[in-house]
Amino acid sequence: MPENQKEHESEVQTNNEPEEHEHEHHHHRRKKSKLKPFLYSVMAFFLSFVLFLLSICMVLEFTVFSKDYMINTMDSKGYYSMVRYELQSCLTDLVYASGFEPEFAVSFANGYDVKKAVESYINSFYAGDNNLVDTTEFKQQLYAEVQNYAKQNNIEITDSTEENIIYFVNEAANIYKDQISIPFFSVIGKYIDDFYNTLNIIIGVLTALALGISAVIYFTNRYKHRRYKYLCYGLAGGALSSIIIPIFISASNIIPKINITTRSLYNLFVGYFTGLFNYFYICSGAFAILALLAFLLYVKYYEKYRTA
Amino acid sequence: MPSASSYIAMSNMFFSDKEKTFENEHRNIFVPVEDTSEVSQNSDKPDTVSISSFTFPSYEDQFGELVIDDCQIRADLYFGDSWYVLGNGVGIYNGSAIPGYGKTVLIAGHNNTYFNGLKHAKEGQIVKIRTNYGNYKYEITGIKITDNQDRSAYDLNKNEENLIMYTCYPFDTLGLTDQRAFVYAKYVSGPMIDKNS
Repeated sequence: MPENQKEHESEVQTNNEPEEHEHEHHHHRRKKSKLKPFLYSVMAFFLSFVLFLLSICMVLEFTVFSKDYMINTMDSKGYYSMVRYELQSCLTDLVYASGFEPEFAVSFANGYDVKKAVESYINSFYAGDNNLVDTTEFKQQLYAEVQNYAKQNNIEITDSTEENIIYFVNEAANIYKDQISIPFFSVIGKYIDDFYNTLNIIIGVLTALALGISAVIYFTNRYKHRRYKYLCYGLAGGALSSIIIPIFISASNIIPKINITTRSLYNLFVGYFTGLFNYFYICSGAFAILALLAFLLYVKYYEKYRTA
Repeated sequence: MPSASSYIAMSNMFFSDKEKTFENEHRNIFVPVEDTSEVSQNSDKPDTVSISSFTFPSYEDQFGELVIDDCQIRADLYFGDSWYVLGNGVGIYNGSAIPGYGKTVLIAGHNNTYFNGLKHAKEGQIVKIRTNYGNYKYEITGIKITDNQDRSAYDLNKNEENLIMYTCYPFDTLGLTDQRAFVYAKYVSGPMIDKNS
């Protein structure tokens, strides 16, 4: 190690000095050489911890707090078509219970409208709106369809039939709302909106802290190889700590065992978390590349120092 | 440890033992068995079937069929009463019992499809239920029209084999209604399930 070598060199250099002074000097050097590596190791540890926190915040920023991430996951997992199928099935069941022909349900659950409704729901969620699913248009459209159906089939609409139709429309709207909504989203939505700016501040603070610690390690070390050695420690620590949580959860295989009964939500949930873990791997990979770079620089400068 | 077990039990609510595939949904385990109801009716000892000798239906499994000749009803029988089940047949409410269990069997169906024929139901008519473990007969004893919130219309804790079929009322109407038609039937024949073997 360079410290030992330097220590050894200093010992060789002081061999000709008076005994008392030599002892004092030697004692002082030994004390100094122990404290410095310890302090830099602590700084490297803090750097890795800050990078770990930074990776969590960055992943949250790019996933949980990102509307695009949610919409991309829905697209890639075929969420819209599955929701459409489930909505269609639930409405068909309702239609069976309400005296309509089964084909009647097909007309008010088309793919385009479902996609538009889900996207509007996601947009409202990330905009912090409370009313996430507006069923007014759906109800109006369905009510008009029922009136047309009755006219085409010569069904007389009495007061009690009208009451039953309104009951049917309201029930269908509830099913529609349940299918378009994502459970617990309305609860989480409030926090997402409130916490978004704070998260950006935290990311800024953590980035500044990471750069600050790196700067202290870099500029307070006299020898270049030592700068890169401690930076390498910190970055490698950050890379390893960033993948501990996703690796632990992935290895336990707990995500695919989640008890979600509908196929659309299950696929969305599994796809969402797989993507989220991928962001952790990307963060960890970035830190690992920087750590490798620091290691190569350490090797380069250590060779220079050794041969000097 | 008792403190850990409560958390483990709680986590089991959210996670199952195996990965969900959605491939084994909606099994059809209905393989008709030989009809021994006539023999059973004539013998002193009621016929029994061991609970371990047949595949117990899971939620949304088709495990039998329900026939009421007088009402022109012939529907596949499922365990559970989800939208899938009621779109394909009639279903036993999973908080009630399966035929032969010695309790109330509560079966739901839509009034405009599989249970439309219940509008012709009358006392004395025979309901036949064939399952993957035995064939049952029940005799209709009464009909009641009531509100959908009326909990007194059925007793799921009754320790006597009986059948209740229900559907929306009135029949052949457009839209949803608050009323339900309950058709009650008493047990006539069929193997009782031996739960201890």
